[in-house]
Amino acid sequence: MPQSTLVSPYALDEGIRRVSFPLEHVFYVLLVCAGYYGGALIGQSLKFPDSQLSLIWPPTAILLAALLLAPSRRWWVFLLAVAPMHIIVQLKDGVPLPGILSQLLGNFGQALLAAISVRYFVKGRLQLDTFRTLIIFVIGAVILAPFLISSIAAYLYVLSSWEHEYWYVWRARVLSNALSTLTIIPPILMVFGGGSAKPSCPSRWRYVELGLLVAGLILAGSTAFGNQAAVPALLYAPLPFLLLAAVRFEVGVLSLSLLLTAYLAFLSTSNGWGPFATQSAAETALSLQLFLITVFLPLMFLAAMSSERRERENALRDSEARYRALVMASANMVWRANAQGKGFLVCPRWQELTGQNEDDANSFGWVSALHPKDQERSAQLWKQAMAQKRMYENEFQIRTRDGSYRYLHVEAVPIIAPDGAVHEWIGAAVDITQQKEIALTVQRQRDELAHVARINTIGELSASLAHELNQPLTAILSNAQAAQRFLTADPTSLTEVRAILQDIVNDDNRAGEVIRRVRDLVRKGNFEIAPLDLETILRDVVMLIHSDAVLHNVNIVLQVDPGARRVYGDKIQLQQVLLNLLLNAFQAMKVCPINERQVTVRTGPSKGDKVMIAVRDCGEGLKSDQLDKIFQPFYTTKDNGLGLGLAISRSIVEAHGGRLWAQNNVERGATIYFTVPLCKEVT
Amino acid sequence: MKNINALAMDKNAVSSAALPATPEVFLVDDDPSVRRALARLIKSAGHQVQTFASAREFLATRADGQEAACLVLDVRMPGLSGTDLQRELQILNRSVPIVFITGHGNIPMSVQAMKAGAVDFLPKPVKDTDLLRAIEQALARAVRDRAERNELEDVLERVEKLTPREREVMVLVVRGLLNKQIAFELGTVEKTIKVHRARVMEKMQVDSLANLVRLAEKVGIPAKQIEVR
Repeated sequence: MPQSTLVSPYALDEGIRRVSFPLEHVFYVLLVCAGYYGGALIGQSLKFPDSQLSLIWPPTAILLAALLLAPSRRWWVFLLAVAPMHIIVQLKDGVPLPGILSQLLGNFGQALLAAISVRYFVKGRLQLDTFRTLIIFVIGAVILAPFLISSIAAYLYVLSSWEHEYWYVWRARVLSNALSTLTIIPPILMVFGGGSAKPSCPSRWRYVELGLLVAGLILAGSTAFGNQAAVPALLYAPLPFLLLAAVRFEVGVLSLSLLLTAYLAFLSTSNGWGPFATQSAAETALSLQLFLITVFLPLMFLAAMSSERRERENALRDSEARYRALVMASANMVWRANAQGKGFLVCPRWQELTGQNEDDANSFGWVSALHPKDQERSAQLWKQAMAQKRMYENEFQIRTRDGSYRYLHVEAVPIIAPDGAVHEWIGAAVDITQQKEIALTVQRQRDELAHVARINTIGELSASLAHELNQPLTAILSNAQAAQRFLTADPTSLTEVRAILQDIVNDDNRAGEVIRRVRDLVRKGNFEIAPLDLETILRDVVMLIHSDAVLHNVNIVLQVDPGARRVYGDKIQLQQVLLNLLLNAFQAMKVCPINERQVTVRTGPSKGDKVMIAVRDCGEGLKSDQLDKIFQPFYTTKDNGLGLGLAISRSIVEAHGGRLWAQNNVERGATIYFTVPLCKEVT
Repeated sequence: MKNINALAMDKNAVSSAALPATPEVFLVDDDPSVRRALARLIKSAGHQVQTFASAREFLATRADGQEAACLVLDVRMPGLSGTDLQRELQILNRSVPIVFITGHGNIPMSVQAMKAGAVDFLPKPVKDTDLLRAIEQALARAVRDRAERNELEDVLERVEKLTPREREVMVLVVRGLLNKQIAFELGTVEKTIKVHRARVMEKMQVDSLANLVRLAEKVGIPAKQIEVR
């Protein structure tokens, strides 16, 4: 906010009342009195010879300016202070008392009406640099107030026999007041009205420009109004300079230029020069006023609009600079592309990292900076986003200039034009290498722990697994020996031998499957998300622990939702989760009668992008304090358990973006639920 | 205390079981491919085999009282296990010679099975010679058992032909009493006892006292401590 000492405290809105010093008030009141008195003197000096009419009558305009700047509750002070000035001036001028009074009433009434009508619409800072304020000012102060008040004042003048011709007085008063208001108030507002939001510090060139403007105006004004020949075309000589003032300077400067022009016109005309000097003094005054008003009004609007535009441009430039600074200062790489994904605007950081300039990155050029494994997928995603006009989100690795790789997370949004077409794309890329590395370390540690836990589980299962493997071996051996015996007995009968060989092949495959399942679980694989068939995973695990189930006299029931079979996940780790849950269920049902031990593994329903899997036992259920404890590491109810099974299962499920929780069944036993992401793509 | 009438009742139960001409091997294993393979192996040795997927299935099918020649039984099966079936058969008085096979037998389990009368306890995978020898043993035992049962049946039939008086005389004869003492015991004369005794020897188809005592022992008439009403 402007804090200049020249700024009147009244210029501020009443709401934002400042601590005001009485001394300052007195100063302003005195200033207005002086202005009123001086204005009257100037007004009298601008009278045409042999006429009572002034070209400009500043006092009323000065009073109006004071009222516009002061809060309405102090208006009476100004009116009271100015009244004596008015009377003194008029007495000195020899105006009869009724004339003085009617003029006083007229001037005060006009100033009040104008101030009220303007202040009704414009609160706070009052500067004529916007189109809206100017139009309110022109309608209220330049047209409405002079027209209305002059109608009454002219009547009073005629009534008090000070003047005789109503319409003549009316017209003269309207024009004089309108011109005064137009030319005098803007400079006052410019100085006292609280300047523009930004304190301007004009450069040297600005002063040179101002000097040139004044010089040009004087020259052109003299040419226009001072030529003896009264060439009407020359009237417009000052116009270019006024235009210059309107476009390059504030409204206040324009008003001062107008004042200067008006004064030059007055000087020439009162000397009998120029195109207006041909008529009677009264006619000259009126036509000069009319001419000046019609020239000034549009120029003022031009000035207001151009300053408004200047203001907007400044704001835009500021905001642009701010955003540019923001973009440069942020760690993000910001980029832009046109609707076809071409015309990339690349930020310096990208260039620094990849060595690609804008031409290199253009179109799909940026893809070549990516890690080969990310290239095709990323290009595809970008194509998809462009086709669907949807947000593009991706993660990839880029190869930097020094040959190392960095992870970037990229997002881009389309800027959609009103017609629905994509105007352009704005994107940002963040270097997430560090987060990625931390996440990878955590992942690695979890993988290792999971692996250890799996080995442990397989160790617990070793007896059952040996049995599982022993079954096909038994069948193979017995089949082979039976075949030998058949052949010894009757070498020609091969039917039975053929069936035996087929059985041997099958049993060998079966043994191989057992070994594969065990090896899968024991393998130390990296966490790898891939599309999986949920039912296959379930069956694999159920087969793996088939012998253990027999040993525990447990019956396993599988209920697979055919609609939700394809999931995304790490095969080994999902199997580990199931294995843990099933073995826990076996454990929980040790207390049950043999023929009631049943575990139900149910998949579905799918909800959103997840499918739920429930492992339900008929054991004794969980005590309320166990519902949470069971997920804590090293909590176990087994004699030789590590207490890691559920904790690891939960962390595995969470690494899949799912959830794992326990709940007691209504009848008996407990159910462990978990969710895994569904695989939506149809390949 | 069993008396002779009770023995006669027992005899009826046993005699209703008709053994097939060829001894049959019954095989119970839950694993279909193991079952098929073992069945083939047993068949290759010339035995008739009937297979069952579970102990319950075996119990249900054999509930008509038909006797098995021998049973090859997997220890670990869902539901009723092999050892459970062994116990169940004993309770039902349907003892059969059993050859156990198991994937992971332990010593207590095998001891328990052997004590309960198992012929053998073989680990899987089982060698053909081991299994077939065990089956031969089991069948031999079944034959022996059957012979014994047949003899018992025969003896019981002969005992049945005796009159109550002759039975009384036989019991006392087996106890080693002289004709005179028997006559005294039964309150009659020695001459009558002599006639009874000759009848007993004739009906029991024996020619010496020693043979009579052997037969009497078979049907549970003790030579010494017997009490006579």
